[in-house]
Amino acid sequence: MTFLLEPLTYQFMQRGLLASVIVGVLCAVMGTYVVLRGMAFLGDAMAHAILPGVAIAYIFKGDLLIGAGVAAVVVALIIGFFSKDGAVKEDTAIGILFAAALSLGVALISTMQTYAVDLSHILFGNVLGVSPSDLWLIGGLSFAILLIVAVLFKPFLVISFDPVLAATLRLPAELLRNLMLVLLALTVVVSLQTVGVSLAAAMLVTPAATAYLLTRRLLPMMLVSALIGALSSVIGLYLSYYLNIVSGSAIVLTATLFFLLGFLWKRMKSI
Amino acid sequence: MKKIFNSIFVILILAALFLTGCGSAPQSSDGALRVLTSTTFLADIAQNVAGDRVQVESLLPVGIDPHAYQASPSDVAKISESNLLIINGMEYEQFIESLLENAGGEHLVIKASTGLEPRQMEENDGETESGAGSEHEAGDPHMWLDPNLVITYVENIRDGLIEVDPGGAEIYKANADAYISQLKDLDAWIVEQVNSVPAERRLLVTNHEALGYFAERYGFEVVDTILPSFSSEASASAQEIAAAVEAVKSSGAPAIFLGEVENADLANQIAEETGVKVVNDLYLESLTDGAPAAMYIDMMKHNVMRIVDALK
Repeated sequence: MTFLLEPLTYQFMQRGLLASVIVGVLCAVMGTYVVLRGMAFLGDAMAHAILPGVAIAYIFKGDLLIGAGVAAVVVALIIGFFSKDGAVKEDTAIGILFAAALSLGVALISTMQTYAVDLSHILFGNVLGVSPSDLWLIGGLSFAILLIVAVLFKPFLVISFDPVLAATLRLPAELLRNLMLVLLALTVVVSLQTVGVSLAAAMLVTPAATAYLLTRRLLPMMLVSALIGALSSVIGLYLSYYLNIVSGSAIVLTATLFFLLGFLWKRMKSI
Repeated sequence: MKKIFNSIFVILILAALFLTGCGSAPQSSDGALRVLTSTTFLADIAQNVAGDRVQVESLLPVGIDPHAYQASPSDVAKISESNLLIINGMEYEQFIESLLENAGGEHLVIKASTGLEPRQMEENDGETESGAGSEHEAGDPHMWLDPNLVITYVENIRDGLIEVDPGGAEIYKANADAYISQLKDLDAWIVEQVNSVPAERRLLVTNHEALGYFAERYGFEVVDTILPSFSSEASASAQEIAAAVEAVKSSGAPAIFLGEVENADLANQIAEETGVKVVNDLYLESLTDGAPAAMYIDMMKHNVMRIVDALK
């Protein structure tokens, strides 16, 4: 028991654990859409795409996180616009937008004369540096996003997998698709800010991909993915404490291990 | 399954909160005073003031680029268990700000640069700099590269140590005075070295704005900085590189100076264009493990020697 409790005598470990579990569950649930729609590098792309928003917020002395959030939503909507009616695939649109936004951000920052240490890094959190207000932010936002996903579960399912049925039901498919992209964008920004890029990007893909190996039905997939996300966070953080390695990496590697186990299990079963 | 797991998790958290509530918050087990600094050179300066009475530790290890630093749990535990935390201030520690703020524990935080007036970046054309006094509007944090300003660091550190350990006040005062006189010797030595460089050759071209205070104190002119910013996310435009080439040519600056961890590609490019030397082994933000910059004073001497040799 002391083995489990000792790390939790530190407040930063308590908050780190809560934050990584919340982010793990949120990203893992949203990640099922990411994996199923083939947008695996959305997380990494979004981390760069928010740069112009951060730079503009900095120039106008606004809140950097709000700048990042606005940039992410705008980028998500433009991705939605370009990939409308299959003009280009979503992942292609992400690729174009992310490179353009990153370049715009670098250009903006390079014209500013400032001592500001590395603007983008101001935003990139560390699991061990989560503040109480960060916890409220991700807790509240995760609740809101997961609630919307729960309420719109059926419509999201239909527009993702059965466009014909969506048309028959007269669902506002474009609106729903854009809403989903915006929810994903917000998920990424909040996760970046609290737990950092590598962790957010991995949590958006690895648990969902693992769940995809085990089941193809959306609801079970989401639940398995959330469980893997939460377990990876807890196990990873404990490993990081006892082996004294960087926490984000430990969590990502734990999630990867789950994926490998899932992959092996799948192989064994099919033989 | 998920429910079971969730309830186990909640129980764990509650148990932990209960335990910390009972006052078993982490304390140094041996009761010794724990002093932690953000960087290696601050640790050396603080160690000189603390003497044998207290062991000072640095959060960042030797020779690491602060931006590449990732904390492990034991690093953060060091922060929360420290009694006195010494940082540079002037937003130099932004990269670890969230860790410093949220590590928990009870400690006094001393900003070593408290009381010093920062220099602002030159060439502000005012477009982006309306509304001064924003929280991000700190000046150049590289004050430690002028030993005279480090005297203020020493005084702040001394006062911080006395506040957490009043019993050692006399020792800290004596140590601080001794170290301040070493810093004054260092200053005199630097002036002497710099005097061997002809006045018209005291020209510095640097990668980013790091040597501003140093230049001001010892009569150097900073001809150009390749990256007009402290942000490593910034890159130079073609025009800026061209301007740097022109500035080097027209000023006759003999060399370009870089910190040891900085990327020398652009500097090499400009050096090739202009035929000047590139000196890329200055230690500006970290000490080294052993020679040449094992201590702050060694670090300064090494940098001055490299600069003077290149400019003579």
